[in-house]
Amino acid sequence: MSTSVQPPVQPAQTESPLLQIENLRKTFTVRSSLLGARRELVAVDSVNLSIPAGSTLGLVGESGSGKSTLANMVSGLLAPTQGQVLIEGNRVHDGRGRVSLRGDQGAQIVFQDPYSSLNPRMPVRRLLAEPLQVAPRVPRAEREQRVKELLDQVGLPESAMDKFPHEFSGGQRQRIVIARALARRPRLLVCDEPVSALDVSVQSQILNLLKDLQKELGLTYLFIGHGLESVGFMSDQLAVMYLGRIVEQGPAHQVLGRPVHPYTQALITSSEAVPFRDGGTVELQGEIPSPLNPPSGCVFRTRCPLATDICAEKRPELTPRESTRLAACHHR
Amino acid sequence: MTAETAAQELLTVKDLRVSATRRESQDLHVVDGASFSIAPGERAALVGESGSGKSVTCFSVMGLLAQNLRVSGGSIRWRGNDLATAKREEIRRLRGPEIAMIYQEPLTSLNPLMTIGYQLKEAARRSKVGRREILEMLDRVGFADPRRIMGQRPHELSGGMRQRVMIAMALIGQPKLLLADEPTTALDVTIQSQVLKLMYDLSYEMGTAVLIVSHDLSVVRKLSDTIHVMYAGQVVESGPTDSVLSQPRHPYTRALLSSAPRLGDTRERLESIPGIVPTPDQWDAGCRFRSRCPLATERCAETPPVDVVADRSSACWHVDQLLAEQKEATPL
Repeated sequence: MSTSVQPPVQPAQTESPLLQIENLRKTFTVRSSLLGARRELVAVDSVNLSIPAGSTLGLVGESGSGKSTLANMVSGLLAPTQGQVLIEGNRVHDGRGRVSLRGDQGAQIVFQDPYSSLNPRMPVRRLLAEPLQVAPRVPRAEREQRVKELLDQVGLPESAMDKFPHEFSGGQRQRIVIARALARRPRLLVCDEPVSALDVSVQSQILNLLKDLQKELGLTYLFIGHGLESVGFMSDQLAVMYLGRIVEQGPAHQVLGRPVHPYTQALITSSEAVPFRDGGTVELQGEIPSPLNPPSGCVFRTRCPLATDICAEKRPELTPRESTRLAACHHR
Repeated sequence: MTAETAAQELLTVKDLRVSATRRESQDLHVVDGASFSIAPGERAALVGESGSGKSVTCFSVMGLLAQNLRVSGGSIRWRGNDLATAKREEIRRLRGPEIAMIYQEPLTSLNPLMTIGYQLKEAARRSKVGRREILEMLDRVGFADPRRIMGQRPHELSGGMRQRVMIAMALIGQPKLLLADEPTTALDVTIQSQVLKLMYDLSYEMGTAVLIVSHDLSVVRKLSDTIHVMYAGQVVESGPTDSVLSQPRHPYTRALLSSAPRLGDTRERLESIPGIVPTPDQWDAGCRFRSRCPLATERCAETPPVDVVADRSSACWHVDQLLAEQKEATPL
């Protein structure tokens, strides 16, 4: 299956997507109590996405929307229940729950919390050299040089090599995490809330660094976050998830400028800070429903200001709007 | 501030210094020269990055400093009494009926083994409030079925609901001041907005003053009337939220504002503040922001004077230049 049709040459900015997600679904079996009945939890359902090489797709949604489950399937940490993920035309999973890509073919992931994603007992030298020891191995003699190169790329001095994670600030640690993700020269980076644990002034440094690296190395990003501002800033395309499904997608500036789906609209209003004393309101009442007990029809209808009877009866499909966009709503 | 206005204030913190005792070296000041005040019913915010001392300032008002920390200078005047020199017992009597506090992560501040009802009653006992008022309070913070909530345990509630319980618990004794340390940081954007609105409404209805500690400017913009920006243990700028955020009089405030991405941001790169926040052992007499400040000159090695203009105050040698630059720049 690795004998794909994709030529191994570097397609700089071709039309063929670097990442393709086809009809992806992930379910978990859970018990409500120790002796309770087994139930199926649908975490991600019917997700189709593609990202052209060298661009960024932003994914936003509340906790419980399934965005991290999706990220984990793209990076190979979770096997999908249905559907498939293709990176440069190669399937990430073999269909039997195993990863079918070599270490240097898949996506790499940058996690949210740089405090828990680095082994505190390893010096930076080992943290960055470790990925180079996995097949296909980088010869020992070349590893040191590669580690230096990585540190330089993320803006850390060579002297950082012999330090341990606790000797760095949060922002510097996130640089180390990024360097480690780059070690295998991936073409796709999955960034799962990479700046939410950092201070504002440091956030902008890391966002700028990610943008620079993208230009320099031609990287493709799947950028996940719950803050519309930072995701919007990073992304070319934007997808909005709610309860496991994509409810709206399209070019980032269009989605943020003229949202179609009422959920997207609500997210935007929640982040546009109109002071309460000037009449600022709460756009969205209630909380995201449990994925164990999703509403019938449209998943958003329980919190939607536009909801009518049809929303409970029929699930709206993602349909094209304005040629470049998709949205799933009966009323817009 | 004149003595006349001081009499009207609820809380006046002046030149607060909090020191950490260290075994093998000199004491380390983690808050060093923080001054601000809060009037009855006012909603104020302490803003800053981690390490700026905003949480420690908040904890010292509450008399809840960690074992190795102590107030070593300045005063915390609460309705005429100095809490900095007050006995433990005196401060303890204020907690609940006069000053209450809510924290960032409600799950760690609620007892997982006890029912919500038990914990609320425990909080209410100090203020001599009965079951009827507790049920009323739960209704006010937005629970449709207060009786049922009373019998539930924290793990049965969502993050947003737990924070509502915390708010009910804090306000049950009708305190004059509510301290809130990053109360919405752990919550999703839409839930964040709900909790902030609840705090705003209750503060308005009950006449409770609020001091919110946050690093998130959009949270502050929504909730607070006045803002105090902290940097390296000091308050560097104070004033009404709208005017401070639209026309900052300190380069640090300006940098914070321009480093955050906004909705519909078309910038290719974010402006970022170079370097990191200096650690307490690097603090000196001069302006502590000077190592990262684009306006810094030799003069900044001397303590900048506090410049008071109407309801604004800031500490910077180069206010005039800052304001001139803002006039030139087109508003973002």
